[in-house]
Amino acid sequence: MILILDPEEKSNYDFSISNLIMLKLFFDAGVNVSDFSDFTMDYNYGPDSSSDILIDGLKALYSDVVVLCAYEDSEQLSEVVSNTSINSPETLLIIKDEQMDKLFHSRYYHEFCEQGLRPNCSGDFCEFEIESDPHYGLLICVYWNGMHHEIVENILAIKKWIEEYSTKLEG
Amino acid sequence: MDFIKLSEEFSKVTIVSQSDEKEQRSIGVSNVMNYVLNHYSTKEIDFHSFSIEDINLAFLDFHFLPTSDDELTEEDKCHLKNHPWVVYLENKTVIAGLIRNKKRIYENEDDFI
Repeated sequence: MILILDPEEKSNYDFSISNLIMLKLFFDAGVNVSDFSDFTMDYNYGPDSSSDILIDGLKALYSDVVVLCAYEDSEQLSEVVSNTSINSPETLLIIKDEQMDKLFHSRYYHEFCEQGLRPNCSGDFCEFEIESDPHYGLLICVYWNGMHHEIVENILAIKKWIEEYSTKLEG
Repeated sequence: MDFIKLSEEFSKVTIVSQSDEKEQRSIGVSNVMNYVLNHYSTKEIDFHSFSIEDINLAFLDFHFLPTSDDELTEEDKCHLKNHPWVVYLENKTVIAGLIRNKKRIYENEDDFI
């Protein structure tokens, strides 16, 4: 037996496994994922379940999540682009919570950019960048909607870094 | 099939067990393959049955499978025979073959589906 699928079918499975990785990452981070979208998907109908899982997971982890798309929210998006140093993305996810806000306005912000953000701001399977801004929070710029699991991996690594430094800040 | 004879044959075989960690890894990876190939819904998945390393391994193994657009040499085909996803599907085919029974009588007419 040799497993050879046509490119479309294989790509659907690639995206489906990537979705399952996202679900597992959110589950391990303590999120109840039982009501999340199913992970199997058909890319011909758009990467919906992939975006749904990503956004639902982020909403479970952060109190403040804003999603801006290049077509529907062009005005708001260009406002954020002009106020920050990011390039214009296809989708922009802005996340923030109290802990992050405190850290971004503390003396550890520079340290965060160097050690917390820089090693965790890009991936191989999706064209994205994660930037930070003291006013907005974390800016996830998705330039091309690929597989999203690396975004979640990086966000969770950043979250862990922020949590560790927040205890320092309090102590 | 004579299952008594089969079990006697099995008892003669010494099973060399793999290290626990390696065995655990292969169970986790095959659980992932089961969820993916059988299109489980999110509610049905036991997220304790595999680790993040297991699913990353399954993802990379699948990602580097060739597609029908790739031209494969005989050597490539030979390597593919030992590919984890191929081995998993082959094992499932063997099990399906073992439990298939042509003369089975179903309670309802459409139970065979």
